[in-house]
Amino acid sequence: MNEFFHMGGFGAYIWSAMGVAALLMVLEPMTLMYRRRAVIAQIKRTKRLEERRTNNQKN
Amino acid sequence: MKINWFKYSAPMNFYPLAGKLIPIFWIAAILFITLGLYWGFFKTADVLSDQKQYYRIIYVHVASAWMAMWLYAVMVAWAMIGLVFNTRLSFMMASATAITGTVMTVIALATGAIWGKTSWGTWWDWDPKLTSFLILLFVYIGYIALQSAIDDVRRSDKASALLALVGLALVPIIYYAVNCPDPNECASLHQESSLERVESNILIAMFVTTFGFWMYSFATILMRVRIIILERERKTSWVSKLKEFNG
Amino acid sequence: MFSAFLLILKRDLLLAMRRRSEIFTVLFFFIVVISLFPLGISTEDQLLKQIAPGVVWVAALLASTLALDRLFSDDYEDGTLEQMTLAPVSLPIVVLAKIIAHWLLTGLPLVLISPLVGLFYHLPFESIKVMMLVLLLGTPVLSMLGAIAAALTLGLRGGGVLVSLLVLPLYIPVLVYGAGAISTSMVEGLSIQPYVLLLSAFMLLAIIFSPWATAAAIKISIE
Repeated sequence: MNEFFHMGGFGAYIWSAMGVAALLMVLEPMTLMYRRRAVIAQIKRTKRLEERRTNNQKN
Repeated sequence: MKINWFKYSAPMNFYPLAGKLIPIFWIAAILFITLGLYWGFFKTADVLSDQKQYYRIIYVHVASAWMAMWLYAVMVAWAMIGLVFNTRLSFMMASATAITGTVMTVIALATGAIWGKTSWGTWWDWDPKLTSFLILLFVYIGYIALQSAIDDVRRSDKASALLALVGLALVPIIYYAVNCPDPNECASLHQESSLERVESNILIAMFVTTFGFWMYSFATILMRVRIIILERERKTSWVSKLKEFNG
Repeated sequence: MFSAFLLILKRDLLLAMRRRSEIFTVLFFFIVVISLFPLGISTEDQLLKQIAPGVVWVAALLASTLALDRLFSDDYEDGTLEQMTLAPVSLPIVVLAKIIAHWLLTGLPLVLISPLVGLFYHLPFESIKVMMLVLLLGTPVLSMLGAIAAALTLGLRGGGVLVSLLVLPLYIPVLVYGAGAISTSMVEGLSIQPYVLLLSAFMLLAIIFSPWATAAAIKISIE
């Protein structure tokens, strides 16, 4: 049984190992990029709000 | 040329520097990982016969395992620097390192399980190395959990730094306990990692891939630190002057 | 300094004696967990003997982590802990007294009740003695290490679960050697001395270092 599995059956193992590593190492920077965009959008929003508030006070 | 390192301990100065370094590290990471894997897959045909094809898993496995351990040391170092000098950036670096370290540990465990299936015929074995990595994962997760449970930034930085230090102090004891559960004989059932016995082409591929993983860690940690800086310093005037928000 | 130590010890014991039910809660938790295993696994003699060491220790780890929540939380909530950090007595001494009081209330009862486990799991008399000895050496280490985590998580939402997450991986050496000693005691001709020595070493190291780390953690949490 083991013999049978080992015959040329390594491809699945090797590629799934590489796949797991690649998947995680692509997902990590992607979530970081997403988080960065979210943070920047949030800061922009608060900045706009503040500017509007100061403008209102001036008028 | 004299570089004033202290200048870069201020988030304001570090942020643009990190931004410049990130692309360099990404290019290096992609370059070295590709090179390492290319070497491992195409330059070792004579060594790895059909019976031993599964050895190719080891490039990714060893690289991620080494990085997982190394990043824990880096994390503790940053935490210690933070506790001693009370610099904000060190704590940010420590918490940014933790998550990449966790990712590396997960990769090491997953590829280790696949490796185990091919070479030992089982996905999981409670042998000292696998167990140590499982515990390393728990320690990383504990650190992240503590940090995210505390809302106050100063307290969460210091508390998690202390936890990382305590973890480091206990790591040798835990490692010993896992390796030698029976002090009467203390025979580890495990294969020793013996780099000398490994064929040099495999070794080259392993080291080059590891270097690529290291560059990858630099890139992601710097990316994360930049995000943490933005989150924590959003009220400061230098952040609002950044070109990200003007234009 | 010693008088301050005794004072805190006496105070904590007295406070706990006013609410005895809490001590029994931990104790009964220990007993309940232990009696669940035979029902879930098997009631067969040989198997029970084999799993007994691990089961006792896992139950002891869980019981002591559950009890950790109470170590500092009352004093933290009513401000006593803050007073203690400002007092002219060194904080590690205060912390050591509190940990020892805590162990007397939650650890020692487990040691004393453990022969019952021996009966449940058909352990030989010799192994029961060993079990009490290693629990006596090991449970203080659990309290000492746990105190650090309890201090780090003071006043946090869901602190209890967090404490177990932080502290259970750190308990592994005690678990390995504590359970190992009991298993070894059931094998003819093997010495349990190395286990006992290792556990004693852990206890000494914990007594020396844990109060300092815990005091530092309290200061971080309170400031």
